[in-house]
Amino acid sequence: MEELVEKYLISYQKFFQVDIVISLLYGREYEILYALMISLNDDILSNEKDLRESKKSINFLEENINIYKNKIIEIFTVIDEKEFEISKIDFKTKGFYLFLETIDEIWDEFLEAYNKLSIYKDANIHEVLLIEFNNSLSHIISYYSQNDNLNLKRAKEHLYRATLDAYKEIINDENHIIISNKELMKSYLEIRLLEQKNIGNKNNNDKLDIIYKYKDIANNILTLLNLDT
Amino acid sequence: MTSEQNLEDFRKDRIKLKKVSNKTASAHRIGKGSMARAVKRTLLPKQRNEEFLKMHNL
Repeated sequence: MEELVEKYLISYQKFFQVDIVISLLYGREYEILYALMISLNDDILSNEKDLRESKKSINFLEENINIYKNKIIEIFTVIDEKEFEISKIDFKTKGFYLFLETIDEIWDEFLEAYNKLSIYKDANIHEVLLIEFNNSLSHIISYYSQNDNLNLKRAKEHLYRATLDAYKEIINDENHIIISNKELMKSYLEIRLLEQKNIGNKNNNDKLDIIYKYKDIANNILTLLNLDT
Repeated sequence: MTSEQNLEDFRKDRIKLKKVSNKTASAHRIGKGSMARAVKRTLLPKQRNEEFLKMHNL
């Protein structure tokens, strides 16, 4: 299991190093970010597959990242391939418990929100959410490469942000439903005022409470649109 | 309990990602008033991506 988590993180590290070269010019490689999210869920955090199958999946993901890297090297003819050699991080000393514990606290909520937005938008690649996911993983790498545990907290905050963004996008797109339904309007006002009061509040339970309230409004909208999940 | 067992504890029943379509929902918060969004592109060959999704029943 340790090897599996380490391999996943090294694969992400490789991806991040090459993606940053091209993302400002052409946008991020969302398909690979989506694959990284699937892999974290199915291969690391889920017990559905056996470890051998998960390893095969992560190997395949790593191969895809290598193909992506080679394409970028073809485009950026001035790049010396050596510049893409990833710095060796000692993942094992810190171990993987704190990383997995951090992700585990918010992961199910994040994935549920991701799925709801997918159904609502009839799309699987959500750029905003995947950027937050990417930011979260980049803080995880920083947690291992720097001596700063605050990175774990920041990693979790990006997943909170992504979860909220998913529900807010549904609410924003269906603003007419909120305006025409007194109950929803009341809930909406309540959560907006609560959110305002909680600015700067670092309490995780309060943050989750805000997520639950936004989720409730989004669920009501999805029900009215016959898009219940 | 060994460290390995501790890590295994995080492997539990999880919801799966729901496949609805291959479409992309663009970022609303990005690019507005700053820089125009480049045309969506992917450098990864489509079949490689699809093969990965198949491995995960997506």
